[in-house]
Amino acid sequence: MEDKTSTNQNLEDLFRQGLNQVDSEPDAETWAAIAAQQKSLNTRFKRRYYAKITLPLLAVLIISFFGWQQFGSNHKDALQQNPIQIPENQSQNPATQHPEVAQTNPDPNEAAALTSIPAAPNLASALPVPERPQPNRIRVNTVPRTVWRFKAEEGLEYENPVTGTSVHIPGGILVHNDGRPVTGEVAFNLQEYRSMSDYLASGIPMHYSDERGDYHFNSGGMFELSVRQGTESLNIAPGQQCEMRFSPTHKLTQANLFFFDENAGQWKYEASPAFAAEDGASSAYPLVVSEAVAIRDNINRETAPACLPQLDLIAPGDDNRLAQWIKDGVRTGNELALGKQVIPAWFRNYADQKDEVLLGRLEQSLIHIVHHRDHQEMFFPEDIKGIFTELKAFKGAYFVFDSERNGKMVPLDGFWDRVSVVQEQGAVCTISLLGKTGLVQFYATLVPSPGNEHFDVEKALANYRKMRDERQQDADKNLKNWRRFLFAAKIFESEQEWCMSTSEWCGYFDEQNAMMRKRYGALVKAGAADQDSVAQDIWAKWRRRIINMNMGKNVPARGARSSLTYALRLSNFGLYNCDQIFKLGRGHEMAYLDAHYKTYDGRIITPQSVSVMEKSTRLFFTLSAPNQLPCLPGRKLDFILTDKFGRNYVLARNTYARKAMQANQSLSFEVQDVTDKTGSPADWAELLDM
Amino acid sequence: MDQSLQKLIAGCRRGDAGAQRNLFDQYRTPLFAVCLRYARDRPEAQDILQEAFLTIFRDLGQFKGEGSFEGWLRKVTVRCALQHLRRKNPLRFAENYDDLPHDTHNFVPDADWNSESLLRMVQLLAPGYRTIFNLHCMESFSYAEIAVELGISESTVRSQYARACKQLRSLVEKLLTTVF
Repeated sequence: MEDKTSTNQNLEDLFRQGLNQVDSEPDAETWAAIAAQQKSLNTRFKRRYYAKITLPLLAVLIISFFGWQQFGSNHKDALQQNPIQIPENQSQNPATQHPEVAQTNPDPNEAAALTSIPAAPNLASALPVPERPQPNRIRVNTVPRTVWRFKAEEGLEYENPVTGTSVHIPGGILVHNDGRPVTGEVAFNLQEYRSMSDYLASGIPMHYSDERGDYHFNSGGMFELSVRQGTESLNIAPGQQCEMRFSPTHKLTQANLFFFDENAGQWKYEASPAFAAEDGASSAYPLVVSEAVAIRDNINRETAPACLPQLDLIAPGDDNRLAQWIKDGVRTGNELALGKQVIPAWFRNYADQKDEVLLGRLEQSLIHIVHHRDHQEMFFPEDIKGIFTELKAFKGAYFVFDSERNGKMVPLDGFWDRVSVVQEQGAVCTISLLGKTGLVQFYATLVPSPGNEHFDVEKALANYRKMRDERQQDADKNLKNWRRFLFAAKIFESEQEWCMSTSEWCGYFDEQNAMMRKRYGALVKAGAADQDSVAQDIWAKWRRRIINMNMGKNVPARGARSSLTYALRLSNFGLYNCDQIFKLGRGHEMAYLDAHYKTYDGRIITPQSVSVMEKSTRLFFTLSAPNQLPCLPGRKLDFILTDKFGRNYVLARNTYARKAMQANQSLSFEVQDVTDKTGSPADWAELLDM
Repeated sequence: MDQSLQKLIAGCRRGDAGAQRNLFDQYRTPLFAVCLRYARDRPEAQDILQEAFLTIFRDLGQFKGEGSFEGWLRKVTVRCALQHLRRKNPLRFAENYDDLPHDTHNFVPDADWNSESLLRMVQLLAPGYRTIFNLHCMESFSYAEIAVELGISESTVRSQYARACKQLRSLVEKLLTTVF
């Protein structure tokens, strides 16, 4: 039997030899296009490169400085114990005076000043920094901390005018740590945590464990109560309670009350009548809900304003892209308002779908095979909806089924969604028809219709390819412009318009033509369609507006009283939360990854805590094991890591979602050091577009 | 790796536009030849070349000096070509072709062939055939490797490769007949 491989050997040698000698140059514009796209990336490369050089240099300088400091200090101590004895005959000669002699009686102020210089903040990666104490949880949250002074004997009735949370501390129930009753003036502190950015900035763990297993919190809000006299934290006398009415951020199905045990660093369940199960029974364990219920409760929460648009997380260096989107969006909006183009129904109805799906919808027609009246063997794929305009290249021609090559007849009856013609050799083509029943492909020969003597097969097929490419490129371009138009349109819409679906709003756009012409005309006149600086300014203001609205929506309007409050009786001051607990996994056992983290410049990060945020569902929780990352490929989760030095890092949602992952896999993730950008809840809200 | 190449790579990695231009100038010809083989025509080849160089500049850190640098550049370019083709026409990688009987004709060239005309023949192949022919004949991928790369069965790879060779042979014969 002839060896099949040697059959083609000579052919392969021929082509290998020939193709390796191809000596063709790309056009000059190719480099220009590469350089233009590479420009912004080069800025990032440079930053990374120079950081690698300057950080070690700075480290050397700092080590030298502190080394010199330490040397000087050690030497001073040594001299104090064993002062250098100067022989009498040398003491008069300045040249022989030992330099350290002058330092045996150092200026104590100078010494104090020298030792109080703080470590440079940005060198944690180069130098070991002493462990910092746990961050103070009292910081500027969405709702500022309340401090209220009262007399311990008289008690306190307090209501927060912003949130409606109220506290009643009866008189005479406060005691010192040694059990003595407290008298005199005391200070009441109330700190509420009411948003993801508050939880994140607080560093408070958001997971819970008991004998049944590990769970995550879905928070309805946290509060921290304390009463102090001077620097001493006071307590509630045994058997006594204070009352609190807490307005949660939103209604939660089967919420529970938890108390944070500072000594154990863990949350403990507090059975409370305010959180009884729906059937009224109290439970020895906190009630668990499914992830789906937690998400549903988050999405159904009352927000103000309604239909708040969401921002996508902006990757570093993408601000120019956004300015371009706004310019393109405004330009397209203006053209649409002026009637120079129209958004088709298939886009209006499916704009939320991915490009591939949309293009698939675009390329959906009604095609059926028609036969020549007199020559039944000749047929043509007729496109009833006229989507595949490139078929016009075959005007004056038909196809003939190639029985010899195909071997058997294929059924071509009925209607098809898509058609494609590919030249195989000469007039022989492969026709592909895609329909509800699947894909059919077969050979057919392109022939001129009877009497058409001037038909050029090669030319027709070349035209077909050209027209198809142009149509697809046009569709890509239109899709891009329409997306950008819808993206930018939100910025200039009223709040009522935000609540419309894409399809509704496109209809509204058409109906309110005069208003839209005015709106987009003014934007074009202001330079939003062609000036980067104007577009960037628009974007920056828009981001700020949405972030502020997002933060504000967690706080009830001033004077408003939420219909939902939890009436609590508390025996201890401290940190409480009113949360659901749930398990990740949407009905199936959750799988995890063995995660390793490093920064873009290669520093390995060992986190002490990992917080997880899912912006679309408003889930926020922490992981009980920082190196066990949930395996949820494709899901847009932000991970926020904090190491033992208090430095913060972000594994961005798009990076995580795009990573190929399998359960129990050991994976490395690149994280961004955001310590210098974050401190307060507002910083986190800004960074993560909460 | 020689020092001048190391210096060039280092310059590209730190975002030096001049170094990147030098790299482009040095390797554009052989890499463009790779792109031309995978593309249907010159404009498409230029698109692939652009994507390839952007990928090269981004991934230069992954070249550890093992093996030839040009070989690594070619691999990156081939990968970009495949990605480009996948994005362009996913319909084209369907595998419902019937097998054709194999042609056992032994072909021996007896003339010098213009490399451009051979390139044109390859470009005339259907995209699926062209890709498989390039991967097996020019890049020396095995059938199994091609099957994994393209997500199709090995038997389809074999049959499509055989079909590609058959078509090329017909084109070559046609050219022979025309020329001689």
